[in-house]
Amino acid sequence: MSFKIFIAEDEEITLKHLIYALESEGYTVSGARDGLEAWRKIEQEQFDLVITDIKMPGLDGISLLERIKEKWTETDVIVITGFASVDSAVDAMKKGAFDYLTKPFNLDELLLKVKKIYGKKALKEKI
Amino acid sequence: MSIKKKIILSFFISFSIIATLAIAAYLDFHETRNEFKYLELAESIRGKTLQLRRHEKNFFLYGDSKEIEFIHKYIEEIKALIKKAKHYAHDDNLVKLNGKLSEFSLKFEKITVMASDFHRELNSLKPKEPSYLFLISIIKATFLEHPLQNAQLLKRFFKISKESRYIILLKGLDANVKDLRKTGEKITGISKELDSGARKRVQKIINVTKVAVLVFLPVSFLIGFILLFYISQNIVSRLKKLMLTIEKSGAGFFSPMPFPSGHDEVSTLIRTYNNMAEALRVREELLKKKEEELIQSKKLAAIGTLASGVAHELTNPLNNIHISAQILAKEMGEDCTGIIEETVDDILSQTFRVKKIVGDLLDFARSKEPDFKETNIVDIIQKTYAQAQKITAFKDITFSLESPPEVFLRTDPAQLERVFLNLFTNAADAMSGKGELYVRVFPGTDTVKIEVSDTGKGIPSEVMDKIFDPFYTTKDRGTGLGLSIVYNIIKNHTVRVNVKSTAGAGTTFTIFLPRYK
Repeated sequence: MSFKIFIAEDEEITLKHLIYALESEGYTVSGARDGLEAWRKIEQEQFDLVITDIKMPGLDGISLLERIKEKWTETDVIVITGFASVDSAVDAMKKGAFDYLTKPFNLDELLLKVKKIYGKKALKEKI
Repeated sequence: MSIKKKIILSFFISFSIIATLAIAAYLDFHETRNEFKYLELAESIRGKTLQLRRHEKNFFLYGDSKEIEFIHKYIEEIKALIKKAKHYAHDDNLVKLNGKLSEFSLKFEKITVMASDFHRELNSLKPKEPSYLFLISIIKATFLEHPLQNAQLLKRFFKISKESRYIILLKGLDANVKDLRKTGEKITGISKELDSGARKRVQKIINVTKVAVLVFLPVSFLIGFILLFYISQNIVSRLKKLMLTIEKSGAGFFSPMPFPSGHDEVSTLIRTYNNMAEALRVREELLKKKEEELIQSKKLAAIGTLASGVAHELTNPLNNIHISAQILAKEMGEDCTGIIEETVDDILSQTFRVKKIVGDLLDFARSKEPDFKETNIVDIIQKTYAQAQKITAFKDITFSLESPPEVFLRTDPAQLERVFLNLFTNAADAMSGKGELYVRVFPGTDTVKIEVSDTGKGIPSEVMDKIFDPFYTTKDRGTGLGLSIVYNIIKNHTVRVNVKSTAGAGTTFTIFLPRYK
């Protein structure tokens, strides 16, 4: 089963390492460093999971989440936030985000959350 | 005494002095007038007694019956004057004179009777020789003046026996006349004394008046001066002082005046001023303190804004370092041992430490209202302890939690995490990484008491009142914001936090939080 992940993160190093870590786990990963660019790609193609930073140039993570939830109801979203904006994480949860992570976060924690979503999807496909 | 009463009193004192002086002056004039009247009468009496004596002399010289009338008239007049004079003064001489006059009157009456008897009997005298008859007229003319000589004449030139009635009569007349003369002299003497006594009395009253004027004038002047001095000293000087003090307070020096003990208007004014000055001083101090607080809070707010800006900017690079280190550890896989593993762990723990510092700065800058939720405090304590372990060395610290498995509270979980994180890391620092950390949870009916105690070095009593101040720290590393955040969060939960610390024996923080209902 192919599990497609899209990462929207303006920090180049974080984006690079996240893509690398997730690809190492066997997922199909692509990403963008700009909110609008990310939306253009996500609009074209359905992803299983979108991991997005909240603070981004072009389009912020919350707006991106809203657009995704409007277009692709099946896509899950994990929100990454600086601890300066825990409130926006709470807001994101209310708007349908699957989970949130506070920077700096543990990579294992993220991988665990991704695995959870993957497991859920796999179960659904079996049925 | 009030000024009003003082003024009324001084008026009455002045008025009484003037009235006393006026009455004294009136009495003095009255007395003087009486004395002058008395003197007039005494002079009159003196004059009349001299007249009386003149007529007495004339009577004996000429034997004129008119003189008898004059003498009686003067006696009556003098007696009338004495009666009048008694109204004006009491003098023993008046009584004496009156007595002597009566005596004189009686004696004179007797002499006139004797004289007329003798006069009548002379016609029946028989001279020794007829040629001696002319002597009768001489005797008639002179017997009153010289009775004894006339007796000699009678014996020599008339036929009478040695013990004849004529001789006896003349001898008696002589004795009576001498007696009368003596009485008359006494009357003159008494009247003279009376006159000089009256003069002395007048002199005396004039002297008394003189002395009274000389004494009373300076005395009343002195009393007036004392009153004036008292009023000026007591009222005007105090008012002047008050004026100076008010001028000073206008320039911002609120010095109270010495507390006055009096009860007059000026004392009340001074007391009112003192109260006002004290109130103004307190208000100004309060204003100054508020101003300082405002400046301080503005400073803190500026620092907070700066800190929050820096914190935001630090988040991403921090995350980059953190993820990079994790990827490195992952890639090394089995090879990640020894110094490399230690280094990666150091990088990870240090990023958490920076995370805490940045978190403190942000919390301090925001100090937002708590978002109350039903929360299991035991979960939070355990979760926070796990976080704290990542930040600072807990390897040699035994952690024990005494608590029921679930205690639900109405609280903001994120804020409470910060409270415990700060308390735990402080405890670990105080114990220098070695000791015991106790957390006890005591659920009550309305509040839950949570004790966090360590076995560290304790807080010195001299810094105890500063530990909750922002940016106050005794550590080599640290922002000094931890306990300030704890304090603000607990305060926002409308409960309280207590500290008990013994130097060398550890510290216990006790937090009271509201129960969930």
